[in-house]
This record gives sequence, structure tokens and C-alpha cells, in this order.
Amino acid sequence: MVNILITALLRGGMYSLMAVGLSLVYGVMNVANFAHGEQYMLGTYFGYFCFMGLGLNPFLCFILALGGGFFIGALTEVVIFSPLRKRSGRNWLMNTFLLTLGLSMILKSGTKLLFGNSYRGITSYFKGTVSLAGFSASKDRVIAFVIAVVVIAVVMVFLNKSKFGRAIRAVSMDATGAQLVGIKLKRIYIVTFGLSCGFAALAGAALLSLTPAYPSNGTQVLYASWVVLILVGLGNVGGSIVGGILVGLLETICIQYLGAAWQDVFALSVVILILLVKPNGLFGKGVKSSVE
Amino acid sequence: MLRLENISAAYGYLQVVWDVSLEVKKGEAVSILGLNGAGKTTVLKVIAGIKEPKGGKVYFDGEDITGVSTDKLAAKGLAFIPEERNLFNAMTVYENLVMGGYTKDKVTVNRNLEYVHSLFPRLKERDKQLVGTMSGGERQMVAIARGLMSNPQLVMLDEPSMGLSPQNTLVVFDALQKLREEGTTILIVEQNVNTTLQFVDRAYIMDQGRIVLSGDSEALRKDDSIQKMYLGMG
Ligand SMILES: Nc1ncnc2c1ncn2[C@@H]1O[C@H](COP(=O)(O)OP(=O)(O)O)[C@@H](O)[C@H]1O
Ligand SMILES: [Mg+2]
Repeated sequence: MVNILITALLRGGMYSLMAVGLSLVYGVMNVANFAHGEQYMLGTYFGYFCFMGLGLNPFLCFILALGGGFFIGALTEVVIFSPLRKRSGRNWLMNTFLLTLGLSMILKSGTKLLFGNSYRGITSYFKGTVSLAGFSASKDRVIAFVIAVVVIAVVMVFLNKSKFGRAIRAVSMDATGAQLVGIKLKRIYIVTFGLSCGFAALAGAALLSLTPAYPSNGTQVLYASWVVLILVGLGNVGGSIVGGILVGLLETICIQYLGAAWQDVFALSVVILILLVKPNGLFGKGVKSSVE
Repeated sequence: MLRLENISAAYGYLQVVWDVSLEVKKGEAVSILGLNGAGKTTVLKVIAGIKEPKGGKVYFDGEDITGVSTDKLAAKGLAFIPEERNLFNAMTVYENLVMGGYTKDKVTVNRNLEYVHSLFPRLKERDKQLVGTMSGGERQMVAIARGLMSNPQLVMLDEPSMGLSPQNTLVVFDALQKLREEGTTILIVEQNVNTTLQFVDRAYIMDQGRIVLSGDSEALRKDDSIQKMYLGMG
């Protein structure tokens, strides 16, 4: 039982990080991002080439993945969303869905073109295991979990305590109100999408020894992240943390008792059941985009 | 201080504002009155850069601000308090007010906080309450206070008394009166005609997208035809 909980926690930490990014983008920019998995995928390549290609220190690899992801995200906002925002009216959310779906295919195919279909993995960043109360896990897993916890904590403090973070939350609650007090939406959007992509890339890099780099490795992660969001309610950043752990738990239980092949079926069935009872998600209040 | 020249505005193909010109001088309190759908809100949104005009110019302090984006206005000294309030519902009263001073430094923000608390003591008591859980009157106070946090020279209000109890309407107009005495310029849109005409120096009457009449409030108040035609209180 303790084993299951610890495995779930380790598995869920990164889902939380992915979901926090996805949720932030939905809450602040009203973008349904279906390229989030490919931003994770790019992170796995960042991690691989930094670690194997350049032989850098693992932590430096993670930081580079975070920075690279941030840059790609910021670029996506400037090149893709910003022009769309000027022309898209009522169908904005649907348009972002279609656009990011297209972006996801382009990134997937582009990577395939560039690097081929082969798996590029590593056995581990850090050799050895950590044992605790009779349970042992690879160091990589534990470190990935710690990174997720630290990054999420920093993000929460940033959103709630810093001036820029408060501005991001303000935009998620009322974009017009935010402009009226002098907040420049453009900057907020660039940073928000940058952070979200940065977190996804960081997750990809940190989990490289579990999931090798290959073009379509983001698909399952994308589903898991959306499952978290739908589970806790769209745009609820705080809830996404709990949701990530919950999905990790669901998957772990499923793998333990039903077999790995059933994990998506199991997770999605639970989501359907929960939505039947609580249509706005576990923590949903029916209020749109509140970053709490 | 504020001058509109031949503003016209449309939603898609539907034009709703024609050729509106008006002026608000420094220190004045001016109102735009008119029935529902006359185009008053649209005019304010054009001034605030929320709605792009089809034609015409907006000058603020002699500077052409037509089409300048909304986020630049707070720093220029223009505050718009919209009908929808546009508050940050999941934030506390305190946080909303601090956000109002986004373009100001910490010292100024603290000074302004004290000022708006003196204007609306109730907001100080409700410091930690989430704005989303407040009553209409309290939300209007937060909206006005948030607008004042940026030291505006001109305050534009869209129907501040809408949905408010008589007591709260009084609180709001008392606060506006204080602002006025301190020299803040005010442009107010209202349907609450009699209260407003007692408060402002001058008013413009809008009907179906055009300004059909303007003058001193004194004269307008005595004008029978207006009371009958536009304000439905013969
Ligand atoms: N977003 C919008 N889209 C289409 N028509 C609008 C929109 N906002 C206002 N209108 C129309 O413009 C006209 C003027 O509206 P408005 O400026 O809100 O008037 P007022 O504030 O005087 O009641 C009305 O006929 C209204 O239906
Ligand atoms: Mg109106």
C-alpha cells in the first residue's frame, strides 16, 4: 500500500507540473493547448542532446530544457497566437484547439524528419536508488519528483506574491479590467505561454530515463495532462497539483491490479464517472478561469 | 482636458454612434444622458480604447489618443470605471486596490490606499473579502476605488448607480462630490437623470447614437420637453 502511494506520488509529480502549465495557459490566455505533449517531447530531445551530446551536468540539462522550452513557447505566442488574436472573434477557443493540433503535428513530423523515428534514451542521469522505509526508487525518479515540487512551489509563490504574478492572475480573471489598470496583455501572454512550455520541456528532460526521446512520446502525456485538467476543473491551477497526483494514483493502481494496457481506459472511466456527478470537475465552481 | 471630434462607431455593419463631438474642461463634471441603447457606453469605450472608432478623434490633454491601447491610459491619468466593473473576482478587496496602482510605485500605492479608504471606509473593513462575494454596491465602491488608485486626472464612470440601493447610490455620489471638490474632472454616464443633473455642471443628451441636446444642468433641469421626451418623467 505504501509502495503504491509512493509510486503514485513520484509518477504524479510530473503530471502536476504538466497540468499546471496547461491550466495556466487555459486560464490566462483561454487557449486549449493540444501541442503541450510535443513541448514535453522537445524537452526529451533537449535533455538527450545536452546530456549525451554535450555531456553536461544533468541539472544544467534541465535548466537548458526549461529555458529552451520557454523560448519556444514565447516564440509560439508571438508568431502564432498574437496574429490569430487580432483576427479571431467568437471562435477563439476552437481556433486555438485547431491551431495547436496543427502545431502538434508539425512538431511531431518535423522531429521525425530531423532525427528519424529512433529512440534516444539514457539509462539514468544519476546512478543508484534511494530507499526509504523499505521502499526503493531510482534516483532519477526521486529527483524528477523533487524538481516538480520545487518548480510548482516557486510558481505558486510567483503567482501570488510577485507583482508580475499577480498581474497574470488578474488577466485570468478579467482581461479588460487588467488593461484598465495598466497591465500589458502582450507581455503577460508571452511569459505565460513561455512558462507553460518551459515546464513541459523540463518535465520531458527530467523523465528522459523513463521515457526516451522519440517523435510521438508526447501523446500519452498530453492525454494525462488533459485528464488532470478535466478532472479538477479547467483553469484551476491549484487543483491541478492535486489532480496530477490523483491521476498518478489511478494509473499506479491500474498497473498494479489490471495491467498497464488498461491505464488509459481506467483513468478515463474514472473521469467520466466524476464528471457525471460534478460536471465542472472536482474543484470546479462553474466560474471561468480563476487561477487560485 | 478631453475632446471628442466627430466620433462614429459601429459593431460590424451596424453603426450605433454618429458624429459625436463633446468636450470636458479641466475641473468640470459632465454627464452623458440618454435612454438605454443610445450609444453612451460605446462612446466611453471608444475613449478608453476598448472599442475602435469608425471615424473621428479623441484628444486627452491636447494629445491625440484615438486608438491608443487601453493599458496605456492609466499612466496618462485617465480612469474608466465600466458598467461591468471588470473586477478581479478571485482576489481580495486589498489585492484589487493594489492592482489599481499597477503603474505606480509602492509609496504612492500606500498613500492612495489610505485615500480611497477614507473615501469608502467600508472597503477597509472588508480588506480580506473576495470581491466575487460582495454585493453590487460594495463592488461598485471597489471599482471606483480601484480606478482612483492610479491618481487619475479624469474619471469616467458608466452608470455607477445601476443596481444600487438608494443608500449606496448616495455613498457613491458623496464620494464623487468629494473628488470633484478636490479638482478631479469627471465624465459620468447615467440613466438616473435627476440625481445626475443635480450633480454635474453640464450634460449632453444622446438619442439613437447622436447628441441631440447639450447645456448647463440648470437649464436642462428646467427644460420640460427633455423631461418628457427623454427622461419619461413629465
Ligand atoms: N458588443 C456589441 N455588439 C453589437 N451591438 C452592440 C454591442 N454593444 C452595444 N451594441 C448596440 O449598440 C447600441 C448602443 O449601445 P450602448 O452603447 O451600450 O448604449 P447605452 O450605453 O447608451 O445603453 C445598442 O443598440 C446596442 O444594442
Ligand atoms: Mg450603457
